Amino acid sequence: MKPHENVSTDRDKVGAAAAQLGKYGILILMLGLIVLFSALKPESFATFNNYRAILDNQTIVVLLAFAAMTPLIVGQFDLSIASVLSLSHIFVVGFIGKSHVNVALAVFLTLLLSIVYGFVNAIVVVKFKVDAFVATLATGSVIGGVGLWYTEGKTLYNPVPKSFTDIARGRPWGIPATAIYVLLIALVLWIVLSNLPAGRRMYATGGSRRAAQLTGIRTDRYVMAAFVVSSFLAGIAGVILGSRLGTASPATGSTLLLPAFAGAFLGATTIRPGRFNVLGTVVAVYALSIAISGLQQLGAPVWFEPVFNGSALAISVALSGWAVRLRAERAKSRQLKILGGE
Amino acid sequence: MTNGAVSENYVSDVVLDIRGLRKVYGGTVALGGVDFSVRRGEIHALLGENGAGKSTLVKLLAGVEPCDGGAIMVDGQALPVNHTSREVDGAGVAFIHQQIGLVGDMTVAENIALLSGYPRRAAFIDWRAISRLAAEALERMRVDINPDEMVANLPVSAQSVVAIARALARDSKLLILDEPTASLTVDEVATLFGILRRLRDEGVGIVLISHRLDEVRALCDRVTVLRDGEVVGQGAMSDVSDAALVEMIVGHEVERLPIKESVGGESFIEFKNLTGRRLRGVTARLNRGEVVGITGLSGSGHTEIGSVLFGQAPIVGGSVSIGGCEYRPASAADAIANGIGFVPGDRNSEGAAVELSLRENLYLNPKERLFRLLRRNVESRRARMTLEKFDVRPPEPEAVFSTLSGGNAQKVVLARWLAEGTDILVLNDPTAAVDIGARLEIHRLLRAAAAEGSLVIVITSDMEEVEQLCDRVLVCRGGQMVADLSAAQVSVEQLTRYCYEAA
Repeated sequence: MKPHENVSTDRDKVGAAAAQLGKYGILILMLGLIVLFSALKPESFATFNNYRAILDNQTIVVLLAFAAMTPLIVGQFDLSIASVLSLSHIFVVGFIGKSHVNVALAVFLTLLLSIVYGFVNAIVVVKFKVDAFVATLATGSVIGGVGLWYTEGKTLYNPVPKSFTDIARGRPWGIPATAIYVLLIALVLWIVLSNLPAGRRMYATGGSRRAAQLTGIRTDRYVMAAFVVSSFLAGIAGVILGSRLGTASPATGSTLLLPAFAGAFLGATTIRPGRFNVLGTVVAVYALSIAISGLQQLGAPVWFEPVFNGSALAISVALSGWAVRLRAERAKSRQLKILGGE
Repeated sequence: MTNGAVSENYVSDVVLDIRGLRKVYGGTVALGGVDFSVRRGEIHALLGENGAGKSTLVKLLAGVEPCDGGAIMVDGQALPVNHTSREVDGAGVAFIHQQIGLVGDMTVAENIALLSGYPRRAAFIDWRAISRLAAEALERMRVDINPDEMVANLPVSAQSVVAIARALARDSKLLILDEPTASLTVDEVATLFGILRRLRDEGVGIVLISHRLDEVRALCDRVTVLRDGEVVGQGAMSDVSDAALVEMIVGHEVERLPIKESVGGESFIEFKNLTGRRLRGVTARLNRGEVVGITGLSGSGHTEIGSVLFGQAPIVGGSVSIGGCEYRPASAADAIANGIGFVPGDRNSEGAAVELSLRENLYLNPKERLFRLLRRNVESRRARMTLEKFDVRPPEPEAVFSTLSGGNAQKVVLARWLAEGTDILVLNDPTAAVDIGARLEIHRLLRAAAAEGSLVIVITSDMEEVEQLCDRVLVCRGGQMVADLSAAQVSVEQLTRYCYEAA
């Protein structure tokens, strides 16, 4: 027994507590904000309708954050997701309203097309070896252009049937239907990413493409799959957006790119700190939106939202860097103890 | 000795004098009052296992971290307490780390100027002066490197020469090299050592941190051994045997692995007139149950044999067969399907996803089908058993890979293949940057795998490792196999000779 051992045990306890706090920090922060805003604005914030509105409004951002997260797991950026969201809501509204296509077929076609965009991204990145950041910036611009061409730059006001708008506006058992979609998609993603070999191989690919390859993982396939899934998720978000609005405009969607990435990156600092994860992303998106919504009800101006989201993105990336360094230090101390204990 | 004045009884040939240096990390003593001195014109080895305190000492000296006590004098001048890296720089101490720290996309001259400062004429950078300074610095090293060449285009040895030239461009009195040879091949090491000897003769004090005793033996005049943050031995290199050194480093006596006298395994892999990028007609036979070393100088093609086997380099001509069947892998996945495992040379960039847990790294590519559930607690239990069996410390499945020391990290990478058992295991430099204790243990694991009937192929330029570990060694030169030696015939000197000249 060395005299300093007790000291380091205490330090370890503090470290472990800090790690737990890091794990649930965003969740605790979110609950704290809910209590705070409810106390400050009981007449507007602490109402069932307000909670339901936040839950409902953010489903599109959550889906888009999943779309951002999937390629990030394999170490790639997909910046085209906001354009895919926008074009998908234009197409689904246009197919139904302008071309009078049956609702189910229009939704199917829109989602099929979103898979095609994802496949194009995958080919450009994997086969033509263009850096994903640049490639998806480019394809995003092209996809945005297609939206402008289809709408001629105007908003589509063509009437759409109730069966279409019910997709997003429906409230089975009083729960927003969109929340149910998000829950189901989150569940599927969580199972695949955390509990199936496919997910392990994706995290491995993102962790070290070369190491993954050398254990026999066909990394190209997983990177391609990530882009296809990403685009598909953005397509689903687009269909829900179109259904909720009942109209479509090429200007809609682009402002959601940043909150989506902020959610994915902030999500990587919580629940499973150090990696992009489904639950963390959900928590992060809602924490951000509750903060914004509450502060706006307290009188924060319109420009506050993008400033807040941008800051959250930068801070969450900085936080994860800090967490890595902290972990390295703790490991160092632990290693010395093991060696010293011999 | 603690204040800034020059001490009266100071021995003038001491360039670095460290007294009572202490460092505590979070209640754990990393350095417990270490004395260490280096003379002008000597090469001084600093040895010890990972965690013994070598790198802590270097960090404190470099001013990267503050110390918790003790004094450091450079060339008779005490450094201020908790000096900055700029101050130690100004005192004439230069550091060369494993990661050489050059900018690949800049020229040699620009890299040298990065440290020494850009000379200016008026407000503008004087590019001609930069080239001249670089040329002078390189000339001092007596090497033929073009100052206008991009660093990324140079071989690794030339890069470390540039790093040293840069360090010496401003008359360093003391040079500290932290495992400078970890990524070098035999011929590159020889060049580097020639330069270090010349610098020693010019009066520079040199500290060499290395895990490789053969290098230390060949190069160093004196040695200091650290263990658990204390100096456990210090003296002239000629006064101490290798066995005694190892014992000091590890802390207990180390038995030499018995070397098998003859190998009677059945023929398993056959190369017939194999040609590739560098290979020019290799014919060889590797048997089940043996540890085969494949060695050579850089560019001799020895590393390519491993790449071909694992589907990472093309078979241009000739053939490879495994167990009598023609073998032509297109990818790592093909190789794995044929029962081959592969341990790459750079474990941090190629061997593991360092931000993932040990459990995930052990089962990085799970054998289960795409849509079979991985049960976390089952996997976790299996991982813990494996980690304990391979003596990974800590045996904690959820620990993050990047927090492990070199030896433990390598054991995890090995366990990925050995725990499940693999017919053929190809390893690149399996004990590079691994401390001596872990190195012996890794050797033991590889011998055990061979004893159970696997074929273990060790591709290395570490001749000492070949001598200690392998039953048989194949030497490559110029893309051809020039020697096939059994363990009994092998000595480091012989191997080195085969690498350079005709058999």
